[in-house]
Amino acid sequence: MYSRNTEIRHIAAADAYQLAQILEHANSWKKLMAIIPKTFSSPPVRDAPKKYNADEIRLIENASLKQGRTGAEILFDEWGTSGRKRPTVGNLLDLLVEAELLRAADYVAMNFLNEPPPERPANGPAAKIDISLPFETEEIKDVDE
Amino acid sequence: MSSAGNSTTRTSSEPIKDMYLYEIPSPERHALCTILDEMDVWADLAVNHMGYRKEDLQSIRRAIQLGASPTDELLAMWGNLNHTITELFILLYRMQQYGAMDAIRNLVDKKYHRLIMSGQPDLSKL
Repeated sequence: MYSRNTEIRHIAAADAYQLAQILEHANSWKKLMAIIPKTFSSPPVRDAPKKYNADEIRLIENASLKQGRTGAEILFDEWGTSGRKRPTVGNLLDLLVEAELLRAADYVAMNFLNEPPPERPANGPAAKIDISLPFETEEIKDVDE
Repeated sequence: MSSAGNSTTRTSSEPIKDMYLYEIPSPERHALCTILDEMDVWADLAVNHMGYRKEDLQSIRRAIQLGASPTDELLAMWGNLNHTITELFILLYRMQQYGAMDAIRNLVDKKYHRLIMSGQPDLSKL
């Protein structure tokens, strides 16, 4: 278990590996890497200057192919040890939510921080679908055409 | 709205935990793809029910060009947002896609099964 202030570089390798596997899907780690800001400020500044550019993302992709490691693991190594103020699990979670990488965000919230999953937006593909059966009491209405 | 995961109140008789969509077994996943790829039903699902905008569906168009199933790509995308199989089931119900609902009936709680019976099979799409 970690806290929001735990530095990413202090995440146990096995935990980082699990998260990295999730971030392999649909190259999610690239979406994460692309939005990492140069410096974190709270509240976060809208489109703050980014830390990594497309070339650096490609560098890590090539390294992952050569080393046979996931892009995310290499990203964690690089990003986790960079900058005067090291990035924390809290920074990571906020970025995952911002990028709507919600499977990874839920994993960090529930498994790393023992928090409930982050709030979902009200609409759009990430919005939660209501699965309650409202007509459990009244007669099932015909779904109107 | 506090959302503490997908834990609805569990009684012992409800064996099925609300599965994440990315956990869907391949037979059911394949059946869904066969049904929803037909007549581009997946596009109606994606845009009118899941809330995707047309430009979000680039990776699906690429999948189609490669001969892959658009539904398979759509399920992967939506599953990556950590949606559950029951959420998909409810969307299929709203679309009256009873055949698709039937394909995943074993993956949702019994209490939802009557939604499949609540209408005739949607013959208009055949």
